[in-house]
Amino acid sequence: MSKDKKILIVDDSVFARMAIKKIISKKFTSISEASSGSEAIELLKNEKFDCLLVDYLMPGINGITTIKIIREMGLTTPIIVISANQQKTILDKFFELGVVAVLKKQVSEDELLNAIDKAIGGGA
Amino acid sequence: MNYDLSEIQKEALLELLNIGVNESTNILSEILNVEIDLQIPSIKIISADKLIEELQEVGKENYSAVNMEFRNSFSGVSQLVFSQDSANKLVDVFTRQVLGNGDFDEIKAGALIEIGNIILNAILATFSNALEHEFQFYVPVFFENYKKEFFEQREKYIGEVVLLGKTLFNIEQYHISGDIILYFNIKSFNYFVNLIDQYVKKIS
Repeated sequence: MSKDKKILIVDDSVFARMAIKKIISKKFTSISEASSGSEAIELLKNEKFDCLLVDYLMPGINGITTIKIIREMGLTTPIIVISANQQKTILDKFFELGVVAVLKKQVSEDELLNAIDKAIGGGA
Repeated sequence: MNYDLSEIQKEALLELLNIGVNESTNILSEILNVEIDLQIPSIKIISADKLIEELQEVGKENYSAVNMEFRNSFSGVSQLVFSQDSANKLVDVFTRQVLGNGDFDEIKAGALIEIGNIILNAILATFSNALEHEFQFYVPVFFENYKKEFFEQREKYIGEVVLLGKTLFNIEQYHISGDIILYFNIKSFNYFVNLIDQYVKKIS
């Protein structure tokens, strides 16, 4: 895994972002945060990331809509969803949008770092 | 006494509540074979008088509830509240999926208690595991007429301050909705905050 890869965390909970950042900062130094889907979309208009870590339940647009919009923008950035919601119909919607993995909150360090490794290794 | 929570304590609690209610709906969704939508949870610290007002807003006429009490170094109540219409539909779906029939009136309370047991246990287990604190759970209790029966017992809650967490769930396919409510008695609030601080320290 290259340390200089750029990761964007999209989660409305500052606590969840802190927890994720704590894990991934062991392997990455370029980490950005967005507190909503809309904020992430604005960031992505001007900046390129190597991997997005996206929550499902957020105020405004949820994770599914956020990813739909990102894909409609023509971006193929690998996306990992980190959500407490693991209902099958929701997971199906995420995988239809081509996400690399859906991880269950609270995610373990190994699980998250392995998923990012897989996403960056095989992503566009 | 100061009952305020810092931003990070609030965020940590909200995240735990979020994980807990999602965990419970994951299980229920699998049992019922339906998609369940959840609203983003909210938390606040209020007096018991305010709690009564808040719960009155939730529990209009003809509302049913399942309550599950928990105790140990701190105590509280987790609660599912739904209109009797939603409760009836939920029992109907549950009994068809689980029992393959719907001899409805006879099993209504039992089915709702079981649903409450699944949902409320999953939430409390999330808190218990994250905070590394064992709760003593009590058997869930069903209130046919939530408003009347609950408010008859309101003296039990007066004079205390509580931490109230709330979210709304919705099963669009069957037009079922309800509230998931969790409140902690503040008598043990400091102890609870201490556990939250330890949790924050561990995660962040």
